[in-house]
Amino acid sequence: MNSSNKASISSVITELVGHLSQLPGIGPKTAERLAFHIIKTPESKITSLSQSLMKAKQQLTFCKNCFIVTENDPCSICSNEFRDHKTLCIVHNSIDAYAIENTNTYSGSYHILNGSISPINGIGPNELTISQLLMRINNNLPNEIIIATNPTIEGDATSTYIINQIKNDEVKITRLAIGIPIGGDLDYTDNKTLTQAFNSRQPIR
Amino acid sequence: MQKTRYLNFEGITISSNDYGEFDKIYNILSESEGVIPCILKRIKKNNNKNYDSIDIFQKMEFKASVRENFWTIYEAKNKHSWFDRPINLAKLSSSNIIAELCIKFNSINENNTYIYHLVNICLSLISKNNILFSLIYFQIKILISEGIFPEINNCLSCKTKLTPDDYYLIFEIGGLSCSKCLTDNTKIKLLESEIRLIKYISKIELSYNESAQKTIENVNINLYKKISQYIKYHTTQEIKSEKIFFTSLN
Repeated sequence: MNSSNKASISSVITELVGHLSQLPGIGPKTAERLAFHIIKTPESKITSLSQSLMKAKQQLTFCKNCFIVTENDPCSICSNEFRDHKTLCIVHNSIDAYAIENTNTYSGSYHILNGSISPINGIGPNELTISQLLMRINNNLPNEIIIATNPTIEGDATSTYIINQIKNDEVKITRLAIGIPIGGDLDYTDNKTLTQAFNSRQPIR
Repeated sequence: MQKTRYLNFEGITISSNDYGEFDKIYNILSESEGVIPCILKRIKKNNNKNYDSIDIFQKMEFKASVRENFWTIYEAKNKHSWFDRPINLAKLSSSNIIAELCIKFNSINENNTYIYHLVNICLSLISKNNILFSLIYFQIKILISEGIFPEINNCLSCKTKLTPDDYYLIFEIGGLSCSKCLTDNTKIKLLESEIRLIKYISKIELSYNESAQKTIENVNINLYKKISQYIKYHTTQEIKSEKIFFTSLN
């Protein structure tokens, strides 16, 4: 079925499919499936979905301190006095901070970079919140900075850039370990990951 | 409907984009097929045993299925990585410039052994910190391979041999002009040393592991910028990585 046939069925469906396929990870086929699912769904559910979308757009903002997506500024993490604000974890996006929060192992604060350095996409250090991070470090020197960027070339370049910009030698800088995933098999682990796992091995006694 | 083809090939990952929740699309430069956009399904799930750790600027052995020009990689094994971790911004952005030029110049599904080996050499040079030389080498070689390398021996209008202080590269005519024949066309002045370097690089062919120590001292960012302007004139496209590359040099 080509696009001209679809338009003749219903311009409303075509418009809906067009909007849905603009979402990340949604191709034309998935957009069509979603559109027909929406049509079959009771109106009350669609109303509450559209209200949630509007509410998210209108009420969510970025914390001026750590740049996480939040309803209140400062966010619940920055304003929580029981958290360790002398430990700072640097992540690419809010979703990474939520992933770490779900582990219940970290109680420090975050700094969201809003992406990673990606020259091919025209994203350099100035497009991220690196200058705000450096200002934050200067104003309130942390005891430890944990770099939790993705272990990709672009994530690495971002972390190297940040480390080079932090001039204060007193602050401890650590990076999340890279290695074999839990449940993984050694014999299926590629050389690069295995080498990295060996290099960052930890003493256990 | 076309049949599904199954292929084994060697390629270099030159750029990647997220696609959906777990998938990524990689632009892979291959010797036999040029730049191919390939989907790697569930690549973000790190327990997939069919893939080695994949990142950009890795040489890998791929197994792919192709149907109606839609490439899906189902196995990828690492052969070579140029960059030790952590990589700095200058190396990343200069490699990105090479990737962008590859994508602009190299047609999809077209055999291009020359470009494939050129990228191999240039990434090797960048990994050894010969960054500016590598970029200029790549620029000149790609201009030659695309047939838009400028005429640099005589004035293109009056055919006289050029003298120092007389070097103007005229974009429209694709060559040098003497000061007497200058018109209002888009032009840049080239220094004698720059012309000599361009001539030298146009003649040499580096092998994969060869260093280029002799020429490195002569290269400068201004020559890179001048050739880049010329390339931009002919492709009418910006190189996004350039801005960040210049930032990384400060």
